[in-house]
Amino acid sequence: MPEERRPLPRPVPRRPVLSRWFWPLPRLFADLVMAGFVAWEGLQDRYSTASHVSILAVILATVLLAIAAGRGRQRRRSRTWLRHARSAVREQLVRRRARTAAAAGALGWVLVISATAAWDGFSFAMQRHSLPTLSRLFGEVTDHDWGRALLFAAWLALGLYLAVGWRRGRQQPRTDGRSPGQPAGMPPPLPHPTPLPHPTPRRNGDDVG
Amino acid sequence: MTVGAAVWAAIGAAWLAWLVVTRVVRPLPGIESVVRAFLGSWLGRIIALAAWAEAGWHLFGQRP
Repeated sequence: MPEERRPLPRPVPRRPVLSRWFWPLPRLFADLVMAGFVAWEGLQDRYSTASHVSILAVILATVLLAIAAGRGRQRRRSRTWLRHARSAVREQLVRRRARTAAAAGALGWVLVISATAAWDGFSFAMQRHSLPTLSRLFGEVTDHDWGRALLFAAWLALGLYLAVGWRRGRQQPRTDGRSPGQPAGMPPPLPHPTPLPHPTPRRNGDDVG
Repeated sequence: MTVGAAVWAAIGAAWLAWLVVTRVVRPLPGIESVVRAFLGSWLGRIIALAAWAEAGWHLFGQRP
């Protein structure tokens, strides 16, 4: 009985021994440095020079990271993004054409965010002890070391996502059809033609069907 | 409880409820869709980063 032929297993590329043992270390080291930085920031006073310098350094580093990571990797051009945002507001809110789930969701977000901003502005304008502003509520948390550290960690994580998150891949085309390096106003390049299958030679008497 | 605290509690409850609703009802855009709507282009990303930077400076470097 012929033995069933099985495909040979693919050889798994193995890391070198040193790399296999030590590859988690850079990540672990980075995590430890970040945790130490967050804990240190939690101990700072908001008026101190160290606090001001560290916050400004984080903002500068995040902006530089956004620029370095984002060159040619935005999903849309700013002009297209702005045009889409304008037309979405006009269609869904002003003309009330699109009564879709997306429109309902957007309306919900607008209501929640507007209520927060309006009440915060009202409380700020009144300047009464019985009407705390949003920043005063957060100030109650950041008065404690742990609260300041936790909020700082959350702020840091959000900044990291805003800097490097939601970008397209290097090879992925833009959603507005312009690929990186392509000048504005030029049409996108045609897709690479798929090669036709090689025609098999027919023998005499083959059924053409 | 003061008036301001009561209103903030109501707004916080509304945030929580809306976050849960958008998480459960899938066609509704969630908070990540709102953030990603800004991250689609340089202009939106700059606006989001500016708001983030201002919030951080105000929260950790000024008197909140």
